[in-house]
Amino acid sequence: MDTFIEKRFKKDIGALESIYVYVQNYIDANGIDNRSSYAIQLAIEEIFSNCVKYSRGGESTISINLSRKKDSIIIVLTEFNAEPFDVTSHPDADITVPLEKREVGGLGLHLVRHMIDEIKYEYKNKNSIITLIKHLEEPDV
Amino acid sequence: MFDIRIAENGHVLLSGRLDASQINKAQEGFNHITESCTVDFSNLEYISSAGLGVLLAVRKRLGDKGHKMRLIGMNKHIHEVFRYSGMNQIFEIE
Repeated sequence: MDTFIEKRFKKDIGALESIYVYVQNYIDANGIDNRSSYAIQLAIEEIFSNCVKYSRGGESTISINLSRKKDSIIIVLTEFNAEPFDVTSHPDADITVPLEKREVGGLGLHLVRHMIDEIKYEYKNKNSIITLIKHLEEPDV
Repeated sequence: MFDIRIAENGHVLLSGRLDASQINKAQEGFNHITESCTVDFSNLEYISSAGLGVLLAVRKRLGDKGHKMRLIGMNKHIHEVFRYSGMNQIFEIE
């Protein structure tokens, strides 16, 4: 059965704990494997944090919806009445530089690109919409 | 819920979830570490790029003074995050 949930969260880093509980409940209800669960939690945190840090204007909440289509989880984060700003366009971190020159900027998106199968940004009706798709692995035994 | 504390044997024990909302707490805990140390990840369930940033800053600060940082007990998902981010090249991981 395909399941769908949606909830709005305050655009504030302090909302991460509530987001974790909300996402974990969905993961548990859908029997999602541990590796995919980690990737989903991490991707949502990284994208949400980037919205908090970089996006300007818009309403004070971000909606997160989760749905399942066969063996994929589709995650949609929406900022309402926002200026167009593609948080997924941040350049990738260079992970080959030595310690003394190493920066953390861009590392979050670098991880998301490795752990999530598809990332899309759309700007529609003054809303910034980020869609993440994760193909699930075999359930843990 | 994230926690950081120093064990009797001097190891830094991390537990729970080190996400972007917990970096101040993590930084405060690591501020007490001024020499070579072992960080025990056995009870840490999750880390994101924000947590990696805290560890990277500690590694740089200690390294500048000639001290080392060893990470032990990582679960396979956290290890994957270190590998994808190239942090496995920077830290000594057991």
